[in-house]
Amino acid sequence: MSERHVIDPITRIEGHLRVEIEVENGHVKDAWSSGTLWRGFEVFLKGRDPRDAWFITQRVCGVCTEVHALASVKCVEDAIGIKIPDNARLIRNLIHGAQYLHDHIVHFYHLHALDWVDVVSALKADPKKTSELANSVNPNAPKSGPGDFKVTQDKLKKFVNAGQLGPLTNGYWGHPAYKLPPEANLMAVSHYLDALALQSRVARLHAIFGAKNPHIQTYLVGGVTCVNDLNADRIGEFIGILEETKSFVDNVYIPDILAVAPFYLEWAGIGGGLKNYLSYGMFPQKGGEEPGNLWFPRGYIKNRDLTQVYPVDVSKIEEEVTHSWYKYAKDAPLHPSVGETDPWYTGI
Amino acid sequence: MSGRLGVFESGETYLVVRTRPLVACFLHWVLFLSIVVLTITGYYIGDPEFYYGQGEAYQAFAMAEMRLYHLYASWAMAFVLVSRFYLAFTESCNHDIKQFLPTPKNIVNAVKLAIYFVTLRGEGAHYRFINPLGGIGIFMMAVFMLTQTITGISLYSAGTGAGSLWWVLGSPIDSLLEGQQNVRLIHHLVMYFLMFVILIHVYMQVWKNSVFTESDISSIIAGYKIFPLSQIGHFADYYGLRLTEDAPAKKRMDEVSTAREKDE
Amino acid sequence: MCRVKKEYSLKTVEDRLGILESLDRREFLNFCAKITATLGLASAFIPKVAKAIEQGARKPSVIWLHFAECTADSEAFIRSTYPSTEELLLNILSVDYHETLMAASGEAAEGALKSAMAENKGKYLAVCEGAIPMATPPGPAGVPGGYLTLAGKTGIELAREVLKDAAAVICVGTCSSFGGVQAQRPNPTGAVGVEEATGIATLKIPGCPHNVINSVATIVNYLLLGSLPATDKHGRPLFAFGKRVHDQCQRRAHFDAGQFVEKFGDEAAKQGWCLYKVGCKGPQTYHNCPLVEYNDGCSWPVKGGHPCAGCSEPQFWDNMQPFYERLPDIHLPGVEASADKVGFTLVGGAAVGVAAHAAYTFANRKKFDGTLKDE
Repeated sequence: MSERHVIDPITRIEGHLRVEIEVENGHVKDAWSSGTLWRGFEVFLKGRDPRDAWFITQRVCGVCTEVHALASVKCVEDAIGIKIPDNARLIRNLIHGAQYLHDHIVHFYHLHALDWVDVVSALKADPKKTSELANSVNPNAPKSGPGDFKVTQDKLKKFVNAGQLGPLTNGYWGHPAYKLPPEANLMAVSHYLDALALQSRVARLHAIFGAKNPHIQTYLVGGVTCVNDLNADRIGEFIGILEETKSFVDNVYIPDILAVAPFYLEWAGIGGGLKNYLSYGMFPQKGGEEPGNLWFPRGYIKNRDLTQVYPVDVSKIEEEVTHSWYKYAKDAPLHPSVGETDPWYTGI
Repeated sequence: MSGRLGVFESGETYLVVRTRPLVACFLHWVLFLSIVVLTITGYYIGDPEFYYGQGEAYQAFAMAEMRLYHLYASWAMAFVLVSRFYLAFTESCNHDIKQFLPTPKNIVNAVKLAIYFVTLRGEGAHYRFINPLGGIGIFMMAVFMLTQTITGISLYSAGTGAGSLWWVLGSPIDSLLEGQQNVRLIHHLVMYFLMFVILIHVYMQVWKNSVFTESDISSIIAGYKIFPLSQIGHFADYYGLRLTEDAPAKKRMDEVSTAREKDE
Repeated sequence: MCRVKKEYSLKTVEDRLGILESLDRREFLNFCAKITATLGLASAFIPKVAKAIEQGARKPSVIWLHFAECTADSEAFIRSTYPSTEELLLNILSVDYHETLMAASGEAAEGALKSAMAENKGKYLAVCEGAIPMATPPGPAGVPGGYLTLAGKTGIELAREVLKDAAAVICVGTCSSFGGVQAQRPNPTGAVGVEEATGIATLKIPGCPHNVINSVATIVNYLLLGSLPATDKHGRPLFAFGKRVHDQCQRRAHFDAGQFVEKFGDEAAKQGWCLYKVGCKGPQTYHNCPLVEYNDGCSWPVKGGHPCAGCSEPQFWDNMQPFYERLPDIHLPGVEASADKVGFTLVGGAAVGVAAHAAYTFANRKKFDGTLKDE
């Protein structure tokens, strides 16, 4: 006996997602996901000045901001054969690296954590034990005294007692799928709040050389514009925030993963998609041509077999519209460069 | 309007016709100068090319100067537009306003005249004071200059505070055109339209002056034209002249008039 | 899916003040000073601002709706430094519905929305992010507004339902204000701003993304005076959008001096000269970027050497492109060219025509007898 459930909206993501699941005997048997927003970037990008393309493309996503801009600006440079100056390469690598840092922190704590961490359970934690837990996971843990956790817990208590739960309203608090003990929950909530303050600092890494975050505005076909920011003051601030962030990642973020993971080990076997993975690689190094000079190499992996990495042949990439709300003139997949954008909405 | 007859030393009779008061000539050349200044400074403001500030920013004012001259010249142009509009209703300049409007009749006649001027075939007619082609040209110039004044006020108002007089004047244009960027585009484009009409205007005056008896060049400089009587034919009644007493010349004019009446 | 029953017990002023005691007083006053300055009020107002934030016995309920957007305005909102995002989300506001931040999903999220609307009817602040697509998608299931659906409703249906009982509607970002990126030509989804879609007056804080200092200042204004700040004709608060970028720009002196960046990477760019010639839209754009800057006063595009793109202006995507040219291109049926190209063609064509005419008539001058017949 199977039943269907619809989860719409899926929250704590960018965009609008609907997931439909078929549950049988307490297990998901099948699932369908639909993005329920179409904006038509492929349509309005046509006919625009290629120098502006990155500016428009960046607006695909404001959470993973910058990455679409970088992809677009590299495309145009590749098309007209521009090689950017070395300083521009470095600045782009710094900005893109900062995006890695920022996105991982926000993704783990603010978008993801509430699926694993029961905030209400943290109210029952003993701050002293929480401190012991934190220090056992990482002896160098910052802000990990019993007093620190007491402050967080009191803050949380007052917040909950005030009666307005805000973003925590209607959470699945107390559900048996939450496996963490109260102390681990309190530690995680405390770090959720720390990360909330930190992500705003990490975003400054973008603003230093990228003028603002989200949506940086110093990229340019041919390089970057932030020549005036290449001074000791700016570089010093960048290094400072980078150190601060690294310290958080090393002493809080990774230990948190290690502390939480044992409680959810069975989840590690779930998912994986089609088990084939593709990466275009990133962070070009000095000299050489892409993809040879990429610090994160380019390649794809078949069927979860990490021992073998195959080279990427972009000419073999195809777009299929069978399971999407598009139609093609002919019922055959096309390479993205000749792909058609013809929406055809057949309903959910 | 008045005209005066005289006799050249050669014995030939000539006619002097005052076509516009001196003040109108003066205004024309103020307008001309202001448009020259506006075009040069305006082009610079749009695309600063030939003049760069030297030294530290606080020591140089290249763009600021250009904008100042642009502003002065625009005041001059606005002054001419307003006063010329006023003069059009006074006795001395009372030329039928219908000559300047793109009425269907004027458009048909303008096309006929244009065909004649270009192909030298078809109908070429004389017109009272101004021909329909020139009339429409001047009408377009007036419209373009008005557009430049209005969009110029809007561009100027953008930097003034909300609630100021300029803001009150300029803001509706900004709203109408959906933003300063479009105001700027129109201001820039209409400059070219104006150049287009002025180019043709100047050429036609020079061309007509060299091909026909219908000269406007002396008229725009000094406000009167001199015609050898042998060539004027039709002019006598065209300007509704009150001729001064000059016996031999008067006699000649009477003869011409009589001859014309007989023709009709 | 089971839920712990809410334990509402303490709703008094003392409890609310207790929360605020946990804040660092100096940081709090620092924030108040900054907000007061952004609002353009005298420093005498700082204590009043502080009081306004502290005094509310009940935090104002905020319902944050996402339409056709990229979530950058939510991201921008959590970049707040004074007050910290934590204070903003937990202590100053009660963000009851926000798809990017809230714990609940699906039915539970819908439930949170419904109860927030019911409990705070006529009192909640609706914050909108993203444009509303109005067009009908082609295909058998196409309905008006069908390019965006949320929990089975179209974006416009949800907007009408939620906004009608809001105390005030604040649009953050250019998309919700004026349609934004998806509304650019040819606007395939028929996207428009929230006000245009629903007919409900909104306060707009445009920008791509908006600057959090402006949204926070607006909210403080609301808490302080019980009303939204004065706006310009587009519905943007005057304290932030009353002056042009150009008139507040750090590089303005170079503009007046006639010192311009000719191309990116030249000596002038290194000197930090004016970006007017490489397409800066500062002279056409009303925004307070040069004063407040982004990311807690870190930088803004012109400071980063990039021309202003005019992102706070209505329809800037169409009007301000190309971003590296000063003027937009002309898009008319049969004409797709820059203004200068059109102008040069026109005047150049006239000059060529005039020259040809002069040559032709000179060659055929005998055809003219020097007279014309009378009218």
